[in-house]
Amino acid sequence: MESKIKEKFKQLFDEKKIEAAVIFQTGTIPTKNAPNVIFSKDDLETLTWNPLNWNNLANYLPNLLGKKIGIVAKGCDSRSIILLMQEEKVKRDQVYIIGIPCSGMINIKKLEKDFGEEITGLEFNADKIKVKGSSSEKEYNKDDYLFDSCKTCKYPTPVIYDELIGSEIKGYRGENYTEAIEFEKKSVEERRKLMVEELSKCIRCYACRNSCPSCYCQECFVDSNQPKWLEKGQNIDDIFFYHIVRAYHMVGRCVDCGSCQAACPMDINILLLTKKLNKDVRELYKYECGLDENKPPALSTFEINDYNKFIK
Amino acid sequence: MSEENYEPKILAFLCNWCSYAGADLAGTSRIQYPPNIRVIRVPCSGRINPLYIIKALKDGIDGVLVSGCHPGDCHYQDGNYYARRKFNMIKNLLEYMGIEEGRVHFSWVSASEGGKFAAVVTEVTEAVKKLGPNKMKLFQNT
Ligand code: SF4
Ligand code: SF4
Ligand code: SF4
Ligand code: FES
Repeated sequence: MESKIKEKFKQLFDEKKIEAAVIFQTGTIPTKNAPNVIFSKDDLETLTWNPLNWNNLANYLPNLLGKKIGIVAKGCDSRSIILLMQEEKVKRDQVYIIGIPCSGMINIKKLEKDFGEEITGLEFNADKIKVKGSSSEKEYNKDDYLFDSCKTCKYPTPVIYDELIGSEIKGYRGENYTEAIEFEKKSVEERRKLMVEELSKCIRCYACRNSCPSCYCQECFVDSNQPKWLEKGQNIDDIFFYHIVRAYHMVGRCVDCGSCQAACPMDINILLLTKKLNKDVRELYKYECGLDENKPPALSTFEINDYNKFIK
Repeated sequence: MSEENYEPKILAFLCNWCSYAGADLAGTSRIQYPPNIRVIRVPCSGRINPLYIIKALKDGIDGVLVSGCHPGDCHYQDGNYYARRKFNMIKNLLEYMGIEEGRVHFSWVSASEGGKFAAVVTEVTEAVKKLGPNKMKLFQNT
């Protein structure tokens, strides 16, 4: 897999079809891969492809406007690329997409916790993970460590690509929104209490925003001084405000890649918010983003007969 | 303040062309309605960024009313159709996050509906009164 991707990118660089490539490189520690933008084929040396590649690479595209870019894309990355096309941030002929059918990314934090000591080596094969530490070695089932968003992924095979490396993988067809549906059923007091509990952990590092390809605003509302929407600091009001607005900004724009949650250092269940909105958008407007680059985003269009009963 | 004489503060975003004129008509026709609302006039319901609603709640307002022209009547053709989607989503999200249904209201009120405007304000005021003070501003103490 890796050698095939490298080869393809090398060829694209040589033929001057791309000026930059968005890839994963091996990190400085075995548990982390580094998403990176490279400008020369020499940097392909450390290209890697394994279940640690949870970052959504489409995140790097809006900053590369005007360049011809090669990108490797999992199912979710490919949907984000389409979303960026829908929003006219990326042009189709600007990107060369190498699609990789994705068998799921693993939650390395969970694995680290279970393994107990520092991980010094990782080996992946089809459904097992071999973990090495300085004093022990153990094997785990990959399935037990997949991210929830990967387990319920509907589009593991990229929906758009110029070349597909690997064979197609069928998506999960069950209900993707179980958690949100369960949460909806709780009383309003309980929901408030649980939300406050969960969000109180937030340190407002904004890693969730920074890792999301849909959050490409030049100036995010949290950084704006004029007007100043919210205060700095750990006040729960401000934390709540941030999360409501961030989630709201994802209406009809979230591909459910899980990058935001994977990036969160406090393990906050932020997908609980976006899942709810994805579900509502699907129910009310029969819309899923990132599937058709010629369709307008859900909030940039309307139907005369849209749901109206909530309005007096 | 005791529960009974609690008077909520309610912010109303009214579109210039219909609901604001409707409010005006209610006034000139001397129709009585509760004095709890503070009005902000906006060019169109489509001008309302849901951020305003959340910001108002965060800063301690007890209730919010957003009102525009009836579907089909928007001065800018379709501002309220776009707005309707945004309103629906923010309403769902706020409730999901534990902000009571009944804090945030939406209505279509035309320039000729002074009576409807008064009725809407009365209904909204009652609903917010029932809920008591906005708990979002009390988060700091929870
Ligand atoms: S949170 Fe909202 S304002 Fe901030 S970057 Fe994301 S979409 Fe833009
Ligand atoms: S909000 Fe999270 S899950 Fe949705 S697209 Fe952004 S990073 Fe992915
Ligand atoms: S990544 Fe986590 S801690 Fe950081 S701002 Fe987002 S939710 Fe808060
Ligand atoms: S002008 Fe009244 S809703 Fe657009």
